[in-house]
Amino acid sequence: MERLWKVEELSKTYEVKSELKKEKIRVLKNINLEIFKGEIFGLVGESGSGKTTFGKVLLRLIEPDSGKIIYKNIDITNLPEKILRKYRKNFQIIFQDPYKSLNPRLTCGYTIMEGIHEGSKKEKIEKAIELLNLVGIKRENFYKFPHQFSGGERQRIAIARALSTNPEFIVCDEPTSNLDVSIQGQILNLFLELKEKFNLTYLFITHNLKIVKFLADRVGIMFKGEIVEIGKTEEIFENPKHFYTKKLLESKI
Amino acid sequence: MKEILKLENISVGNEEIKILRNINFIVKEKEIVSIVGESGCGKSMTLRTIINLLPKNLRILNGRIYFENKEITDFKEIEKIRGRKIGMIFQEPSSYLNPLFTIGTQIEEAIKDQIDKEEKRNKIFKILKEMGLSPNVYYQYPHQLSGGMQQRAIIAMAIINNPSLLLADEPTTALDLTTAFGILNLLKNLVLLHNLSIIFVTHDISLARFISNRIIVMYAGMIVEEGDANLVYNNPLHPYTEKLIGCLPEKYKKREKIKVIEGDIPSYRNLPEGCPFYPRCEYKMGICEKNIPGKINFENRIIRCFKYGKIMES
Repeated sequence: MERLWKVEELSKTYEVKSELKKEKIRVLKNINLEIFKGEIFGLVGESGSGKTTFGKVLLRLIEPDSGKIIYKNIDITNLPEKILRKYRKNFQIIFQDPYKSLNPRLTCGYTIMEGIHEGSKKEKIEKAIELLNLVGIKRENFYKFPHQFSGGERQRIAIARALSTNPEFIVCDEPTSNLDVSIQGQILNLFLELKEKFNLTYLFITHNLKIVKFLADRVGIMFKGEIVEIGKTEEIFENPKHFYTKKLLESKI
Repeated sequence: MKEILKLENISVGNEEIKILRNINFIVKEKEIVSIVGESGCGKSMTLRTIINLLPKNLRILNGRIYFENKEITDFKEIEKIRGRKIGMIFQEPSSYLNPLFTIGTQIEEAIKDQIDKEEKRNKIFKILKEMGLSPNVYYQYPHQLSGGMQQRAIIAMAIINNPSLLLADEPTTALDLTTAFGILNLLKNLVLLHNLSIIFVTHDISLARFISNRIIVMYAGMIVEEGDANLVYNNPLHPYTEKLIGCLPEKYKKREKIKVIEGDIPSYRNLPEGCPFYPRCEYKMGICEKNIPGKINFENRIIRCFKYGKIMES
């Protein structure tokens, strides 16, 4: 299988200033990871374990302190933004809260058109309508604003926006944890459909083990900034080795 | 067992719309009852009706509410017991804590008994310990606590007056699963320790099964199914319950297509004439279009569906 991402010894420290002292919090500690083309990689951990930070550092939305990020065969760790921009369209991110991630001043159609760079205006509109159609938003909603949509519909728009640049890799940062269970099912279906259609690779960040079990080929378990266990989903669920993985699997609801 | 709460034919709304329609249920002593449904099914509204905290434009149209065999439908009656005999916890713990005061001060504020300061302090330390929080939390501010700890502090506030009923409105939705698991177990323990009954509102029916004795499924302001938690989860009878369980990913093999509920919840201004679930139902029959199904007792359950008998709502 072709390797899409390779991460070596990635570390990130946040500095937190309180009244008297400066505190350093190591959010990511020497992370090593590989993601292959066409797979769904599930990253699991509780809040504060650094899983969201990892997703952002991987796409260099946050700069890492040390370590290497290799995309295909290119080391993008220190690539200047100007050059990195060429690759940016290949990787996208979908955030947890669709109420915060869409610009309230842009219509749904324009939000998506922003990502399309080729063709005349008419062609862009056509492409945007096609993308909206794909995620299940009807054409007559093109000129509506985000507040006119429900949470599930907004997440669909966010997905269409991510697809607008023709990416091959998408970081999905807890995309369903703010949604009702009934809507969650629809969005999971959509992710799987789109994966087949566009041959996408996902990094699926979540705290929900049921979703990971349902979706992921491989899983990484994160605990206090470290990946404590990594492997095939079935193997980890059947035979967890690290104490934290065991604890996670025990809190079964 | 003693009845703690009883709702009798409660309808809520105004001249134009009806949000809740003929709600009937009973909560017994030491029982956890879950109310399940999608957003907008009237779950939270039911809780708000019980403690009379309805939005300005809505009111109780008919029906009665009894708490420990005493009618509390009247505003004056509920004033006396809200916060004392009935506690409430909400979804987003951070928005119910005042950022300017320590947790200790805020719990102290909730104490209704006239006792001196020292006694109050002891009481708070005792309850913090019971919640699994360290005594330090007394002196800490909300932003110094994690989401799970904040929720524990809120629960402490809700039960400090030893209520007999706790209303919990999606208390774990904003938390991740391991933290949620801790909170759910805590609630279960409280039931045993404090003779508490809980009404637990959630959209996740697997969560409801985990915590509760009984599940009530609501749709468009009506109770469509009610029964023992395991029974409802393992063998749902109402088409809506069946669909709700059918969209859980754990019910499927890997990457199998999840059967979702097509369509949306009807708007309250524009409810179908007959069964509210009619437009989305797989088993719909001619009778469903124009008639609202009545309550049927079927296999230890109360159900509103014409599949199980042609009884109409009077």
